[in-house]
Amino acid sequence: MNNRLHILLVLPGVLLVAALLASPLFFLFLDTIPNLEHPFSLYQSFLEKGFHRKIIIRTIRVALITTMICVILAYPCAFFIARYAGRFKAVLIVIAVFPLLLSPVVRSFAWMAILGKNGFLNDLLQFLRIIEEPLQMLYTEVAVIIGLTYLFMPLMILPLVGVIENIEEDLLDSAKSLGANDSSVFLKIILPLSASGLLVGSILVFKNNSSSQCLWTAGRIHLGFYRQSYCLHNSQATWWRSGDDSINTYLSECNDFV
Amino acid sequence: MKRSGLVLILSVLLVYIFLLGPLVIIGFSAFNESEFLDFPPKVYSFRWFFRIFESEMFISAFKSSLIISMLGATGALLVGLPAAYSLSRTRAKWRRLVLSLFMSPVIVPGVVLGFAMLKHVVIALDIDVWSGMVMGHMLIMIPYVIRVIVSSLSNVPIEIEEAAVSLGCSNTRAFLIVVLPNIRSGILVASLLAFITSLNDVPVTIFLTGPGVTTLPIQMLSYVEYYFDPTVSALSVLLMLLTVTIMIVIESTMGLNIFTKK
Repeated sequence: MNNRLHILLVLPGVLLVAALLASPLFFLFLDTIPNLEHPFSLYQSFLEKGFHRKIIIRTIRVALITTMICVILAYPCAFFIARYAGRFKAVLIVIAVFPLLLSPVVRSFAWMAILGKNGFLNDLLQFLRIIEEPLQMLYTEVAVIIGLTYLFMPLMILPLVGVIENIEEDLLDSAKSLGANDSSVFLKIILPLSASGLLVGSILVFKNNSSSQCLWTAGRIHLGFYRQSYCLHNSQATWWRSGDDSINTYLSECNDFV
Repeated sequence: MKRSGLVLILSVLLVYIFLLGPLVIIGFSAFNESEFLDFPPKVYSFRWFFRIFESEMFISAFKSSLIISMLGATGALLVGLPAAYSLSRTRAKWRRLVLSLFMSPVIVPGVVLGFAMLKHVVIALDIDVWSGMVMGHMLIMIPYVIRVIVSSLSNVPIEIEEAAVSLGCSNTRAFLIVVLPNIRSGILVASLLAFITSLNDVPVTIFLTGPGVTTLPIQMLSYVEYYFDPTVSALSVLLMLLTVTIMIVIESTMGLNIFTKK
């Protein structure tokens, strides 16, 4: 088949993505540049507000912590699934995929039920007489980190399993026969060879983090968010063309408006 | 080695309890007689399940969700299938570029995507809520459709197609009677994955909802704002059943290891 036919076949898809994704993003970027003399003035004024800076820093901090926790918890887990799980391997992978396909609303709701004032954890702690009064656990940064770790853990486990699976057994055997002990086999062979999986997993977790912190803490942040987008849709309000590309920040802003 | 093995197994257990525990708790609370989400329930009942089917808002939200996801999936398949075919058969220079363009809806944060679409497509062109919603969902489904079908096509040797053509078949006919039957399971898995992604989507959808048009996840979120009873738990159980069904179909056609291979 010739090149022209191939181009014809990809064209509808390319046009669709260009029209619905590429060009809106381009225009969105143009919006943030008011004039050519001070192209970045909106970014500047955005960053000058201490409040905005605080939110950006918080966002990055939460994303970094979540990614780190995911790496630490998922790596041994993926290692086990890929090398030692045997006949349980399929089951373990199924269980890791399941939350990924389940609605994030359901998964977040589960943690709201656990961490809430009358939630499972508070009940348990009170029952065990560890605490007297219910603790405020929901709507805290720790709660957000737990929730996000929960949401994105499978995204770290699955690519890691794929990568660790592909490390050849012969390689490890030959290292051992040449006198390497277990820990140096791990550090010098397994870890470097699984770096790509770690990278993919981290990128996925970090990216999803920075984009969907809105999902979690479903209660409050969402409330503000929903109202804003709703009123935006109806009145086409443009009051917040304050020039930040990062809608994420805008989200947290909504939180404080409410 | 023995001790490190034990540590390994313990950490796996820990992670899996973390992954499944919350869902088990939600599952139990759905069958709770009382208004509260206590665990374990004292009296079991199905009342919250009946409650879902009685409440108009969940039923109509689920209907809109189904319509939007199905229309979107059909659209994504219609543009995705030819594109995936061409991407798996061509060796042209633009292949990588086009492939990453198709993957970009997964890379761009959903919130940014939804906002950009709302402002510069839906509002700018004055598109009605329904069409905007279907277009947005089509966009988020395309990466899944392309990726699954391209990988499924890579298992169909190009030779059998060439054989058909050299025996006098036209290109279109060769595709329809030789290639298509071979990637049936790929197409099924692609549509299921796309469907469930779209059904679960919040960040893009939330920007595109409008008066009278809402999807199930959005409706659930706004319900949780005001009421904190086991209705949402019961809905969660139903969604888990749906997810399990979809996973069984995927496992029995292409295998779930499509999730560990990139």
